[in-house]
Amino acid sequence: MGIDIQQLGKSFGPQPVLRGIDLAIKDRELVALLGPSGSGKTTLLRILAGLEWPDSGNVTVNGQDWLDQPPQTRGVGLVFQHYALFEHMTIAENIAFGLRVRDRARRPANDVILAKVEELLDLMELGGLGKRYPAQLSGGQRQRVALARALAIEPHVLLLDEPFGALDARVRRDLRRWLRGLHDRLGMTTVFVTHDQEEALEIADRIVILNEGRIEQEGTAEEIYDHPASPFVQRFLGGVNEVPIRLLAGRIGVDGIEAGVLKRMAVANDNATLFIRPRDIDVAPNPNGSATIQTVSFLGDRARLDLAFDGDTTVIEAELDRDQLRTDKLGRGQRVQLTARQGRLYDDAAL
Amino acid sequence: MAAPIRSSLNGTAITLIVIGVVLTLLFIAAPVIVIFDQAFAKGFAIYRDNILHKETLHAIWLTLLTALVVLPINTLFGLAAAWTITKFEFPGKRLLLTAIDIPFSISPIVAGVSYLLLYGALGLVGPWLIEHDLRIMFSVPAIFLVTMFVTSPFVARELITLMQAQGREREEVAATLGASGWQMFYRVTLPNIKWALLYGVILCNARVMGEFGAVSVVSGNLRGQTLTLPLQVQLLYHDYNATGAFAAASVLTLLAIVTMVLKSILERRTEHRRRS
Ligand SMILES: Nc1ncnc2c1ncn2[C@@H]1O[C@H](COP(=O)(O)OP(=O)(O)OP(=O)(O)O)[C@@H](O)[C@H]1O
Ligand SMILES: [Mg+2]
Repeated sequence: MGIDIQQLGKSFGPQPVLRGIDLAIKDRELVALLGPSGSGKTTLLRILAGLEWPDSGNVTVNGQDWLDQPPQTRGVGLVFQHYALFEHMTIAENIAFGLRVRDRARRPANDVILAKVEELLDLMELGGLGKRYPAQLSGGQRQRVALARALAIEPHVLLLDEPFGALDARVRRDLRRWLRGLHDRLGMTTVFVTHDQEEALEIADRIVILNEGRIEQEGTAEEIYDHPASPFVQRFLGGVNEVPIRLLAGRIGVDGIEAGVLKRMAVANDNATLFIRPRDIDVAPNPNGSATIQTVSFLGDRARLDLAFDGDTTVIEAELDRDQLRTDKLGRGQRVQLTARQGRLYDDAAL
Repeated sequence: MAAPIRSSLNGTAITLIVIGVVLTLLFIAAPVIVIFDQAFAKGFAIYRDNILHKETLHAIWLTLLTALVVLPINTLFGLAAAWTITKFEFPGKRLLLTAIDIPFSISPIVAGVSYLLLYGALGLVGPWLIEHDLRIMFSVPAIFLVTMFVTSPFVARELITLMQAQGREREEVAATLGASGWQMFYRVTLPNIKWALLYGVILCNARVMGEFGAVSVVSGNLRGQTLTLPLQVQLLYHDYNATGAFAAASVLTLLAIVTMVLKSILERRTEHRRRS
C-alpha cells in the first residue's frame, strides 16, 4: 500500500515538531526515517499509526483519507523500541492477541489461530519458546516476538520505531538483514525509524533525513551518500572534516593540505568551508610534510589517523587501508603530507 | 534496587536499633495491648456480652455496610480516574490530578461540616431535599457520602503512580492490533495493575472502617441507628463503659491487623514480581 503524506504539520504546545512533511511512500517500499534526536521521527510514525493526529496536512492511502481512521482499522503493524510486550501473557498469547480481540465474525477458529502462531514462531526463529513469558527471553528474542505480534494481523504497513536500538551491534546487524528479507517475502510497505545511518544505508530502499521537523533530503543510499544535499546531511552521515579555505589567485587553498585537484570548484568568496571525508584524504610519508600523525586507531581492515598541524589545534581525520599503513611504515609521530582528493564547498552563511 | 549494605553491628547501629524497638513498643505495641487488656478486664463472658450487645452489633453491621457501599464506588472511581489521567491527553488534566487529592488535604471534620452546610436542613440544597422527602443529613446515606469523599483518593493515587510508570505503549500497540477500549483495559491494563489495585482497595477499606471525624459531624449520633464502630467506641467511653468501649475497639483493631497482614502479603508479592 502506498502512503501519501502531504504538508503534515504538528505542534506540541508552542513547539512545532513537524513542519510541512511531504512524502510519497510507494507500495512495498522499505523507507528509513533518519535524523537526530527530537527531529520528529517518532511523531511522524505515530501519526501514521493513528496514535497521534496532525494539526494540518493529509495522509492518504490508496486514495483514501487515513486520518479519519482510528488505529484499530488501519491495519498497521507497530513495533516500539522497547518492545512493549504484554508481560502477563505467554509469547504465544502475545502473538495471538491481534487475532483474539477480533469480533466473532472475523475471528479465526482457535486451531487456525494456534497454527498461525506456530507459523510465526517458526518464521521468527522462535520455535519452542511459545510457552515462555517475555521476561524469560533475550532482547533479540523479545524484539522478534514484538515483530511476530505485529505481523499476526497481516498488516499492509509495518511501522518500526528504532527496532534494533536496544540490541548489541552483532545482533543488530543480523536482525536488520533478516528484516530486509522478511520485508521482501511478505510484500509489505515498511517504514522504520533509526538513529543509525549505517543501518539505514544498508537495508532501506529509500532514506528520508529529517531535521527539526523538515525533510532535509530523501533518496537512495547512493544518492544521499554521494550527493548530500546540505552540510547538515554531510555532518549527519558522520565523521567529516570541516576546514576553512583561503583563496589563492582564484584557486582554493587549504592550510596544510594540498588541494590542487579542487581548483575548479566555484567559490563566491573566501568565507567558505570545505567538507572532506576522511577516506578522501591521501596520506604520504614526507619528512617536510605539514602534518604529524597523532594517533592511529584500528577499524578492522581500515585504520583512522588523527593528524595535527604545527602550531595549530585543528585535528584532521583520515582513513586508509591498513595495508598502506604497513607499506608506508606509517606510525605515531611521523611527518606526512596530506592531499585532498575530493570535497564539498559550502558558503559559511549556510552553515 | 541497591544491594543491601552489609556491615558488622557497631555501637551506633545497636543504639539506633534499641531506640527503634523501644519506641515501637511504647507507641505502637503498648496501646494495642492496652486495648485487649481493657476489653478482657472483666473476663471473657463480659467481653462476649459487650460485643453481642444490640447497639454494638448494629455499629459493626453499619461499618461493614459502609465498606460494602463505599469500596466498590471508590474502586470504580479510582480506576476511571487513573485510566483517563495516565492513558489520555486532555485539557484540564492537571486540575483533575489536583482535585483528586483534595480529600487528602482537607481535615475530615471540615469535610463533614461542608457536607452539613450543603445538605443540612439549614444548608444550600438541604431544604429543597427535605421538601422532596429526601433527608440526607443525620442518616445512614450521609455516612456513606462523607466516607466516600474522605477515602476517594486511595485507589486512584495507588494506581496513578504505577500506571504513569508503566506508560501507554502497551495500550497503543493493543489499539493498532485492533483492540477496542474495553479490550485494551480488560486484557492489557488490568492484568498489569491488579496487585496495586487490591492494595489500594485494602488501604481504602482500612480508612473507611476507621473514619471518625467526618462521620461524627454528619451522623447525628442516633444510638443503634447511625453509629459506626468508631462512633460507638466514643459513645461507650463517654458513658463510662470503658470495658464496652474497648471491646468495640478490639473489633476495629482486629480489622486493622487483618488489613496489615493482607497489605504485607501484597507488598511482598509486588516486590517479588518487580524483582523477577
Ligand atoms: N507527547 C508530547 N508532548 C510534548 N512534546 C512532545 C511529545 N512527544 C514528542 N514531543 C516533542 O516533539 C519533539 C519530537 O519528538 P519525537 O519523539 O518525534 O523525536 P524523535 O525524532 O523520535 O527523537 P528520538 O530520536 O530521540 O526518538 C521533541 O522535541 C519532543 O520533546
Ligand atoms: Mg523517537
